[in-house]
Amino acid sequence: MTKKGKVFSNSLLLFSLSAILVLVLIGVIFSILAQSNQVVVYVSHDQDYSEPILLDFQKETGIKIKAVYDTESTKTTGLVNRLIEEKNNPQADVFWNNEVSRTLVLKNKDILEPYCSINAEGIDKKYKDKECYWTGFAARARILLINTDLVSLKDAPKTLEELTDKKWQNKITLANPLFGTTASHMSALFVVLGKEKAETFFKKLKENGLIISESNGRTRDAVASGTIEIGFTDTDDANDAVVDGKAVSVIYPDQGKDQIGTLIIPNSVMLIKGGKNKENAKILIDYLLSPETERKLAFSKAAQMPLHIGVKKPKNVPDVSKIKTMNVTWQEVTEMLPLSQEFLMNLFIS
Amino acid sequence: MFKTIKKNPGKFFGFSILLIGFLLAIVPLFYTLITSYVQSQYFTFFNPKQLRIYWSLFSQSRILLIFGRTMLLGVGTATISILIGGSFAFVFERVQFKFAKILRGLCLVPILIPPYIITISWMQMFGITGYISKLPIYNLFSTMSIMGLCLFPIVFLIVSAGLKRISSRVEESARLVSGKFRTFWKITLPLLMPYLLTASFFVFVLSISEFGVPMLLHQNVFVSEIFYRFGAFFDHEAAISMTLPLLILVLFLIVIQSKILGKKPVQTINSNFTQKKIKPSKKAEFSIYFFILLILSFSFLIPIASLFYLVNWAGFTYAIRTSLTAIWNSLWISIGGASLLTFFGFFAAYFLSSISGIKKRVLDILIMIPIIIPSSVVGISLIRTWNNPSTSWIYGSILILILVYLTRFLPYAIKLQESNFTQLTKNLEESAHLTGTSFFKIIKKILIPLLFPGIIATWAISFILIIRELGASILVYPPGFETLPIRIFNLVHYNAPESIAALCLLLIVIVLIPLAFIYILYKNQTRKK
Repeated sequence: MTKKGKVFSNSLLLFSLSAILVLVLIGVIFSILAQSNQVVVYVSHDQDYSEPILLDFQKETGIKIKAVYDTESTKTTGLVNRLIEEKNNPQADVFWNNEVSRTLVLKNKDILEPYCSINAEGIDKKYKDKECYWTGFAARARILLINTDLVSLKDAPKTLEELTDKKWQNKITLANPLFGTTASHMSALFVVLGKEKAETFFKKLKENGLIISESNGRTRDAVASGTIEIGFTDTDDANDAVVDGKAVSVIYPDQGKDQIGTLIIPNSVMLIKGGKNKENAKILIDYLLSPETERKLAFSKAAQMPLHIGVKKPKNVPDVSKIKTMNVTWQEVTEMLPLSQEFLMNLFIS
Repeated sequence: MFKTIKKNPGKFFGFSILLIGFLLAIVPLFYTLITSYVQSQYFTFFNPKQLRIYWSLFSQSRILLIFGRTMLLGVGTATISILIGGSFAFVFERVQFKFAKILRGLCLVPILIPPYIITISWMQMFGITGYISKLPIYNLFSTMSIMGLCLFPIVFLIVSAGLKRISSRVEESARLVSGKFRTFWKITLPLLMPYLLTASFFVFVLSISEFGVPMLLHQNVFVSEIFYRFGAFFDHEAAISMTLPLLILVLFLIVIQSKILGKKPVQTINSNFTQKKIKPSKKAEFSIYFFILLILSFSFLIPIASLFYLVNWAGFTYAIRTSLTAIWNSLWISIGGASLLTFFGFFAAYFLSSISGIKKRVLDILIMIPIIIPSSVVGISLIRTWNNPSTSWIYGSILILILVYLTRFLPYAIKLQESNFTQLTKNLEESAHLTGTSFFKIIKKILIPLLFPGIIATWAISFILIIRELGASILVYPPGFETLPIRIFNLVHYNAPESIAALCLLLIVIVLIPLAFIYILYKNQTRKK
C-alpha cells in the first residue's frame, strides 16, 4: 500500500471509530433519558381521544407519558404484533387496547401480568378478567347504521337475520372481517349462533351481495353519504355521522326477548409483564379505570359508554345496562377467532 | 481477495462499508428467515412429512391464484411504467420544446406521493362513496394503472440518466447511414437496455411488494396474504415463511438481470458534449404537451385537485397543529437517513463495480434480498435482532429507525449508483491512481463530479422512500418519536376526508422543500462545471 493510501486508510479507520462512538453515545443518552420518571404506554384507541387523557395524566401526576399509538384498522400490523415480538425484552409498561379479543391473545401468550386496580371494583365482572390480567372500561357497541333517507326506521331491519332477506340485496356493507372489532363481532356470532348456523348466515349474506369495505369508518361514510343503505359499524364511528347531522340512525340489533343481543366491546387496559416502570404503570392503569376518565370518553366524540355506575354522560350515549348484550365470554370469542377468520377469509377475500 | 482489496484503499473502504451495511441490514433478515425455516411447521425441505405440508400449502388453488394475480400486477405495472417513463425520458432528452424544465420537474411529482394517497383520492371521487360517481375501479387493471402512474418517474429518472450518458458520436454516426427509427432500435435501445432492465426490475419489485393500493382496491395479492397471516392470525412464522416464493422469484430475476447486464458493452461518458435536440413541428409540439399533461393529470393533477377540493382551512390547521412534532421528526431523520444511504450506497457500489465474476453475482443477489421482504417481516427481524438487554440502547432509540431505512432501502441506494459506475470508464480513475493521487482526491475530483447527477438522484429517491416509510417503522419506532406517515396513518383511520386531504397535501409540501434545496444545489454545481 502506498504511503498516501496508508494515511487515508488510517483516517478512514479513525473516522469509522469516531462515528461508532458517536452512535454509542447517542444510544447511551437515550437509555439514560429512558430511565427517568416515565411510563411507556402502547395505545390502540384513536389518538385524538386517548392523547388528551394521557396528557391530563402527565399534568396531574408529573409522570412523563411516552406513547406509541396505533389503530386496529386493516392496515395495522402494529401493537399486538409488536408486543408479541418484544416479549423477551418488553419496552411497554401498559397497553390500552380498544377491544378485548387481542388482549386475550396477549394473555394466552404470557405477555401480561395481573394487576387488580382499586378502580376496577365498580366495573361489572363480565367486562374484566377474573384473574386481573385485564380490565375493561368505556365501551362501544356493534350496531347497524341506517341511512334514513333511503330506509324508513319502520322498515329497517331489527335483527341481523333479517339482513339475509332479498329486500336488502346489495344494500349492506361490512368492514374487512379479518380485523379489528369487526373480526371480534363475527367471531362472537360464530359462538352465539354455533359454527354451522353462522356459516350459513354468512353464505346467505354473501349471496345477498354484502359489500366489504376497508374499515368501520368507510362503512359509516358509505351509509352517511347515502351510497349504501345499511352498515355494520361501532357506536363511536356512528356517532361521528350523528354529530355531523347526517341522515342516519343507529339500531342496536337483536334486542327482542329471544334474540341474541348486541355485542358490547369495552376498551381494555393491562400491565405488561417485565415492563420497566411497573409502579408508574399501575398509577396509569388506576387513572384510566377511574370514573373521571370514563366521563371524559363519554363526552368526547368517541361517545363511549361508561361501565361504572352513575358516571355523567351526554344524552346520545346510552346506558350500557339498558342494552340487551350478546351472551358470550371474551375467552370464547378469542378461541373462536382463528376458525371464524379462516372461514370468512375464504368466503369474502379471494 | 483480501490481498487485492488491501492494495487499493478505495476498494478496501468500499468493501468495509459494504460489510457494515451487510451486517446491519442483511444479516438480521437472514437470521430471521433461517430460524423461521428451521422452526416453521411449513418448511423443512429435508423432512418428507414437512415437505408434504409445504406442498399442500402452496398447491392450494387459492394461493396459486393469488400468486398469479401478483405476477400480473408486477408485469402490468412495469409495462405501463416503462411505456410512460421511457417515452418521457426520450422526449425530454432528445426533443427541444418550451416549458421543458417545468414539465420535467412535474414529471417527478408522482413518485413523491405515496401511491395509497393517490388511490384514496381516486376512491373519494369514484369509489363506493365517490362524490363524483360510482365507477368499477375495484379491479386489477385499476390497481396496475395507479401503480404504473405512480412509479413511472423511476423509469423516467433512470432512463434519462442513461440517455444522457450515451455517447452522442455513436448515435450521430449511426444516423449518417440509417434513419432515426433504425438508429433508435439498433443503437439507442440496446445501449439503454441496462437502464431499462434496472428500471423494470425496480418497478416490478416495488409493485409486487406494495400492500396499500391492492388492499384499498380489494385485490388480494401475495403480500396481502402474508399480511393476513401476520396481522389477523398473529402467525409470525407462517408470515415469514410465506415470503419464500417471492424471495425465490426475485432472486431468479436478479440472476437473469445480472447475466444480461454482464454482457453489455461499457460506454464512455462524453461529459463535454451537449446533445443536439430535435426541433419538432408545432403540431408535434402540441402532441407532446397533450401527452405529458394527459399522463400527469391522471397520475397526480386530478387526484391532488380532488384533495384541494376536499380540504378546508379548519382541516388544514388541525393537521398542522397536531402533527408539528411528527413533521420535524420525519424531516430530519429523512435527511440524515438519505445522506447515510447515499454514502453507504456510493462506496458499496464503487466496490461492486470493481469486482466481477461469481463474487459479484453472489454479492448482487445477497444485496437485493431485503427489497422483496415485506415491511412487516423486516420489522419482526429488527425486533428479534436488536430488542435484547445488551442492545436496548439501539432498539429503544431512533437508531432503530435508521436501521429500518438501511435494511429496506440500501439495495436501491447501491443499485442506483452502481448503474452509474458501470457506465464510467475506469481509465480516468486508474490514470489518477498511477500518478499517485489519493483515493480521496479521486473521489472528490473525478468520481463525484462525473457521477453527481446519479448521487443527487440517489439522495432524492432515498429521501422520498424514507419519508413515506410506514410498514416497518410502525412496528419499531421508539415511544414518543412519531413520524409523519405514522401520524397520517393513525389519523386516516377515523378522520374525515378533509383532514386526510390536508395531511396528504402537507406530506407533499414537506417532501418538496428539501428537494427544492437539492435542485438549487445541483444547479449551482452544474453552473460551476
